[in-house]
Amino acid sequence: MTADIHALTGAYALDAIPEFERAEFERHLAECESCAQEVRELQATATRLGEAASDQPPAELKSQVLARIAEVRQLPPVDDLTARRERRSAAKAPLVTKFLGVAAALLLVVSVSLGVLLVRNTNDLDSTQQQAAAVSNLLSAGDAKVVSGSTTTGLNGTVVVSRERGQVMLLAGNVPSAPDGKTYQVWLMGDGAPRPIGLMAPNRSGHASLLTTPGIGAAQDIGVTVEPAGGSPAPTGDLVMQMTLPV
Amino acid sequence: MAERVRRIAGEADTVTQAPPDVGALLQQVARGDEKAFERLYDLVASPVFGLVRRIVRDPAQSEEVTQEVMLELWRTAARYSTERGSGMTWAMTLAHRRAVDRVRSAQSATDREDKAHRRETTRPFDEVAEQVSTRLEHEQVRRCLTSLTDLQRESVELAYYRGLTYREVSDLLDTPLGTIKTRLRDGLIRMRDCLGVAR
Repeated sequence: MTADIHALTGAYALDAIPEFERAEFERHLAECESCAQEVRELQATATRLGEAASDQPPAELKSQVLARIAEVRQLPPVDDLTARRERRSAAKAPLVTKFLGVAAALLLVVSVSLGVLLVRNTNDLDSTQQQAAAVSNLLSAGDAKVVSGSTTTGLNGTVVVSRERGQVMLLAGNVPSAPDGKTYQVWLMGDGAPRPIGLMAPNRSGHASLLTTPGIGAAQDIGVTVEPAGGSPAPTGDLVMQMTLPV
Repeated sequence: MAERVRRIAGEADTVTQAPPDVGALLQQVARGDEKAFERLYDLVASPVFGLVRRIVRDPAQSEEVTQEVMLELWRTAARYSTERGSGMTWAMTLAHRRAVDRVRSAQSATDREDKAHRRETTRPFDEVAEQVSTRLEHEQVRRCLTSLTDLQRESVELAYYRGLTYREVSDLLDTPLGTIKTRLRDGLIRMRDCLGVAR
């Protein structure tokens, strides 16, 4: 733990931390009990600041809210195992959808990659520059193929695949934040049981990306689900995006 | 999932009891208890709305965000556990994050111009500070805020009540990033000690 990252407890408790640093800091929190304790105290302190600003909402809001809960399904509790896993690996991530279609759009890849700020995965891509470098590196593979598409909900995505190198990179755009306490988790599918390859979080501009380590094998699809924070060993949530990987 | 009493727009409970704790209510809400949710609403709606309103400003949007927060509390109640802190902290942390998400996504489009602009405009924090301190209902919080150094107080207020990132605070106050990070932490720690927040 560096003094610098520890100093972020205050900014974190105040939500004054940009999205991409938040994910990194949350990973740090999972491993630093004294930091987590300090964050809890500072969040409780911030709550007092919030309560001091109390203001009565319009009366009709209550009936609206009470009527709406009838339409909202409640999440089940997190069991101990999940909770432990959540504490161990931490990352926050938001959502995507179903891409279809094929287009070798190198320009799109480049423009998407420039907007990408956050990658938290087996291969951490810390800066935009590193990500741009990773994209062009993967594109330089002899058999690199690019697939792009967008979903009816307005999400768009591009996948770069090299079977030779056994790597996939997913670049997604227009991705909304995952619901609170949830994360996007990315899977390789169609080669045995779905394999988790990482968690994904969009930055403030709704871009998210993820690069796998080599070893995609004979996977046929890449999919994204919404899972409890920290991810799941097997998909449990809605599939928000699926793309067929070119062979 | 046994009995399920649907109460739509019901009257608030008129029976007076010891005020239930937000955390305890969340645990009841987790079991689908809509009546407990109504009591939860009564306890947290004003703090949530007030905070959201302070950050978002626009009344209609503030109501929307408040509604989102309340529905999210309903949806995720089972994920609350006392080891995560008090129920009120859980609710207010969620509210703050949602409000901040709302203003940041609205902002991101014009961010660049904003930044260039911000450097030239006069610092608006005096105005913020004044509104905050005149409207603070909690004397103790106000008193504790005045115990901070100016830079600590300005930083904390801009971050918390305006929803700015520490980078934006640093820009606005013309102060190095590292200094702002430290001031946010030191300021909150001083507030924590002054308010006697349990460790």
